Amino acid sequence: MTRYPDPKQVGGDFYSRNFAKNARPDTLILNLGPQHPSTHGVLRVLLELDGEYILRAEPVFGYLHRMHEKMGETKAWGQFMPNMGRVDYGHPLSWNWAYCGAVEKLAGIEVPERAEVIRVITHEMNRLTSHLLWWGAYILDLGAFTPIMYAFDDREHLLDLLQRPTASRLTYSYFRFGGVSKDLDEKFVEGTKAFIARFRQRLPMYKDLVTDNIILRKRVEDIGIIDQDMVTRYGATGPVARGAGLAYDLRVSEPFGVYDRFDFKVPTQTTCCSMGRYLVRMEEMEQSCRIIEQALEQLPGAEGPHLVKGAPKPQAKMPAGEAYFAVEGGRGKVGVYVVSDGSKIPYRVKLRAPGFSNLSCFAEACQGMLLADAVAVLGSLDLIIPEIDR
Amino acid sequence: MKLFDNLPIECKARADYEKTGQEWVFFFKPGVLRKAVQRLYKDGWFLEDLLALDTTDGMLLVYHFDKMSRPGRVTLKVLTSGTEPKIPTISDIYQGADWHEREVYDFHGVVFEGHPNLIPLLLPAEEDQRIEPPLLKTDKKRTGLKNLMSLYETEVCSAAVEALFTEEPAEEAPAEG
Amino acid sequence: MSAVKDIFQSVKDLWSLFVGLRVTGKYFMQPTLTVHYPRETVDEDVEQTYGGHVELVPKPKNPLKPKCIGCMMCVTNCPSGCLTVVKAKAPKPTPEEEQAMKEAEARGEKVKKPKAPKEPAKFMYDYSLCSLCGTCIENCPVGSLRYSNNIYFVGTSRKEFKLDLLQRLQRQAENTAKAAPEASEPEQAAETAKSEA
Ligand code: SF4
Ligand code: SF4
Repeated sequence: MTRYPDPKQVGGDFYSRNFAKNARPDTLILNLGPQHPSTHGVLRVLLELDGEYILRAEPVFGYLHRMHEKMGETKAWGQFMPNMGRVDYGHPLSWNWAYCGAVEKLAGIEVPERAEVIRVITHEMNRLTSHLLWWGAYILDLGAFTPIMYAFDDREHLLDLLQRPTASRLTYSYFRFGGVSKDLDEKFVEGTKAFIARFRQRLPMYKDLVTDNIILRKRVEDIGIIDQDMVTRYGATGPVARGAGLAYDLRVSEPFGVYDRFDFKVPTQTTCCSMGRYLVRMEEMEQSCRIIEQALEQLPGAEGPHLVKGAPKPQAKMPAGEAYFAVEGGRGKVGVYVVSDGSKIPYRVKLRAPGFSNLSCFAEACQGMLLADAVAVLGSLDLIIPEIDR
Repeated sequence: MKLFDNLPIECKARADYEKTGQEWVFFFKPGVLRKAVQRLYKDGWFLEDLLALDTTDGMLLVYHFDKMSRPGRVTLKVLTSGTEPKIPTISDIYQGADWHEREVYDFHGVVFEGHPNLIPLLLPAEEDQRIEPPLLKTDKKRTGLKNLMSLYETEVCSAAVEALFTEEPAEEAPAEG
Repeated sequence: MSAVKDIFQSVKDLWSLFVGLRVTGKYFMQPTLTVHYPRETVDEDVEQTYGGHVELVPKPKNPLKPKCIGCMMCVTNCPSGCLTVVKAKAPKPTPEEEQAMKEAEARGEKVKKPKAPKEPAKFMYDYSLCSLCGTCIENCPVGSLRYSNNIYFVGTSRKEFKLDLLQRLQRQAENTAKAAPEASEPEQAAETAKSEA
């Protein structure tokens, strides 16, 4: 806690001093994080407080920065693949897909139909795990301990299933240029069907337990307003955009893979508040179940192997050129832009993280808000800090 | 794509969305960039990302824009000097660009003129701990634009930009605008 | 009118708390779901499909030797550089053989030098670096690598994660022989993995 007006007395690091330069003399500068349990890893937020009200905020991050983009420029195309599982531990398969998609575009690699269907199934299951993780952790941020246990119960079932083809439980490196690394087996299909049936019954329970709960509603309704104009100015995507009433979902509006074959809804809410984003994600879980069910039905009819014949080896050269590929991840638009000079090492790999843009809304959205609500708003943005820091 | 009509466009090209993920590619001079971005904002586009590309022709800034109502991507490319890259900021038009620009400043050392708060974002910020921009290429690895991308089907194209993409070694890059 | 509405709303809100408590109460009565390690272990099925560190696959006929032919594909393709393979050297010729070779050379015949056997002399693996991406497994021409299902692998220092896979294979083979000589091989490997952990 520091008193102004003498900026020289301000301790802290570069960011605190820089932030304090523009502070009013009678306010309090508070450092939230980076080790705060509800900042999901190591996000740090500098806050200027007038009493309990936030005047200004500045998220500070980079504590988990691993420079994936530089690693991309030192490894062969295929060798960069495992990094994609580690950008975002919540929804790694969307990064797998974005990178594979970009390289497939660049090199003109066909993906067999069966591989496409497998991609949809695993990608959607991964979205469920991502949303479940967010749901449990968000409610935990708000002070309720039990729901995360229910969420992890379901999530474990999904991980048990996903480990069959992917051989990992968290940081998947499953997709390959031209398909996926392993085919789905019979037990996976059976287990997934059983899981969906079970999960359908769990969702109403989640609603009873948390969504309808008056304490949660009073806590998250009407805070953290992010409206359509803000969404455009900041480039926010995913549930943040859909919570503002924009039905923008890449699975529908820029279909990739075989998503155009499935019948599902893009849930939206027009309240623009934290509760709106919460409800969007809850509804999305139901829609994911629908997609998985339809995809499992199509799986036996889908032709081709799980990996295209003559798929490039990890050290293969890629033709020169540039390609951009975006997929709808759990947090929004995951984009990968690759530039190749024709050698076996990428010239440039740019990763577009949805959380990066979503978090940039926060400083504006939290102005004039109570400090206690800041945590509720941060959680509703579904932040995965490794993805933001890359 | 009539959005930039009567702006001094360096190059306007239609790219193959299936192959590159981009629909339109525009080259601009740094001075025109802000006007073009303003038009995009009025038309409801949003900034996806922003990156720099270190080439022998100079530092290429690439802006990706997308629209929520329809598929397709517009790429703005601006070439600046490779030794002292400088470009006007767009963070007052798209507030989301603020962090993207700071990131590019971190990684490539591009200075965004008029940026309100151009401090390191991801890399160490203390004055005595700052490091060289890590994504700058070494002279050996750096290569020209024509080896990295094609011009696609151009509709309008200035001679300067075309020269960058022709096989003969082009003379000086038309950097500052 | 609005007062009535307010009261009604409050009652409804209060009721939502009881609905939540009913759910928790219901689940409270149910058996525990978490696995209380080490008193309990995870399902057989989960353990069998678990992708642990990389291990060598023995030859079908000789469980002491890996299928590996020492081609180094896995080493060149591994993104993390965690594999070290040293190819086996050609065996040193015995004095008599050397003599014979020299004589053959003197006679101007083609000398038959002993060839290096196609197998690794050393197969080191650093689990602490491995990203479990499966690149080595997919790129091995003879299928000599696979994920182990060593799910309970723990160590107290970094050194313990540097594994000598050849030694491990031999230990596995010995354990298999000791445990149940008749049982089929793959299951055995899994069991040894478990007992080792
Ligand atoms: S799994 Fe991947 S990181 Fe691990 S040894 Fe094999 S190739 Fe290397
Ligand atoms: S394990 Fe396979 S890829 Fe590696 S050296 Fe042996 S044969 Fe070659």
